[in-house]
Amino acid sequence: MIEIEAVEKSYGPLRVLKGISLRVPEGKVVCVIGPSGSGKSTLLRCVNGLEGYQGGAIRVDGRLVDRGRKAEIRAVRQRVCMVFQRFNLFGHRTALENVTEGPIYALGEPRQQAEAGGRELLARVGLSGKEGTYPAQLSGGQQQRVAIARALAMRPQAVLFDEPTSALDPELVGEVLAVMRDLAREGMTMMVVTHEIAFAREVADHVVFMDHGVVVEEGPPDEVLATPREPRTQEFLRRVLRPLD
Amino acid sequence: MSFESFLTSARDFLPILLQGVWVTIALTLCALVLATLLGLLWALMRTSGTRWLEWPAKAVVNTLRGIPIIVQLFYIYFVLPELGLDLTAFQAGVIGLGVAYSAYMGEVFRSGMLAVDPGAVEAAESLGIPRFRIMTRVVLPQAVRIVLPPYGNMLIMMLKDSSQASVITVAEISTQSRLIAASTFKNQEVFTLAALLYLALSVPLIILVGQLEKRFGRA
Repeated sequence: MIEIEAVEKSYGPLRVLKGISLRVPEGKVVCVIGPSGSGKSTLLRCVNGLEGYQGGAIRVDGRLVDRGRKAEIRAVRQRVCMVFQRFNLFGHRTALENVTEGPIYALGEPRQQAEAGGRELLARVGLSGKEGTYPAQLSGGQQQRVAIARALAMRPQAVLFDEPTSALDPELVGEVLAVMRDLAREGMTMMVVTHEIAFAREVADHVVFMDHGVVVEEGPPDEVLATPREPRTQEFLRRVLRPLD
Repeated sequence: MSFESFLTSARDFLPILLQGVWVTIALTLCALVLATLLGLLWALMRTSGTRWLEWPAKAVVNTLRGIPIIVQLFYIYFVLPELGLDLTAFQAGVIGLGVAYSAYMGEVFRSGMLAVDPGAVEAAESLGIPRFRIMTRVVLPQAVRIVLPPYGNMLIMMLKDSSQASVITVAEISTQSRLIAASTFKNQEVFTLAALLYLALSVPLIILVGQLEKRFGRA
């Protein structure tokens, strides 16, 4: 579904991605973990074409992600949607309008159909009755669930999650992770950049540990998260799981 | 000034002053259109990300902000004819007021564009919404909300500053009242009427801007 091959990216002299390769097969959940500044969010943004890259290739469903080709990028974006760390909702539109904006203006769906679909999706993420509410009146967890519904409204073949719970109060993390877990169970292809090790352990089919723009270690969650081989992975997990030691 | 003499003066002078009111309104609205269009141009240039567009716009805006409106009006009305460009007083007034205010409008528009949430724009991009639609559905609705209250304030200030066009003989409210006062010596009555007419025009606008701020300030 998503194929990332030897991707290189730098900001000026700073190399943030140093030949990253990674695959997200259809129907699988790949979690990318790693310290901040390791390039994992950048990689995710490259998959969606929000940022360009200088070397290698990213393919989505066989299509090359190339920011130079506008029509091609739009086709990719309609297949692979993104959920952001800070929700990035349209603040001047209601929850329902946030969800229908994509179907109406990117897919050309009739408004009525989009609204019916939008209501269903809001119900699916547990937000029935909040259709007419503006983002500012929703909690962080509710806002992020609207953002997930907005991504699903595009009927994507895969969803990219960029640290979807990092901006949430601790007590709101669970409701968002629950929605993501349901989504994974239904067979959605997902690429998740996260610091939620417990979530990765339960839901991921494959875990990738990135540091300084390279993949340090990858494999099934039981191996990478429970018995990591690389010292850098061990050190990172120790600090994340037992910050006070 | 007794109340009766005031009413008599009002009856005698209002028809002439009302002509001035129409000129004031026309002058303000024409200048508003010019200031808005030029202001948008300056704002787009300054946010273009291209240095050779940003720099000239910045220079123009700062020059205009640094010269009193009255001097700009003198320049357009008295200097341009020497260079072969003859303008009526009204035309010169519209251009002077409009160009002078375009500098402030440009800054208002620029701050509005910069205040639009870049995350929302990015989200729209990530959904594959076409560029034009992102502009009309995400950027402009947000920018308009941010810009509308200060834009309304600009309009109120322009309405009052249109009186400066009296120095180049545009027959608006203050010109008319000065002429009447000079020929009748009824300074108190005439200038009270002029002040009331300005208030009648500006107070509704002030209330409107207050409403806008209440409505959009929250979101």
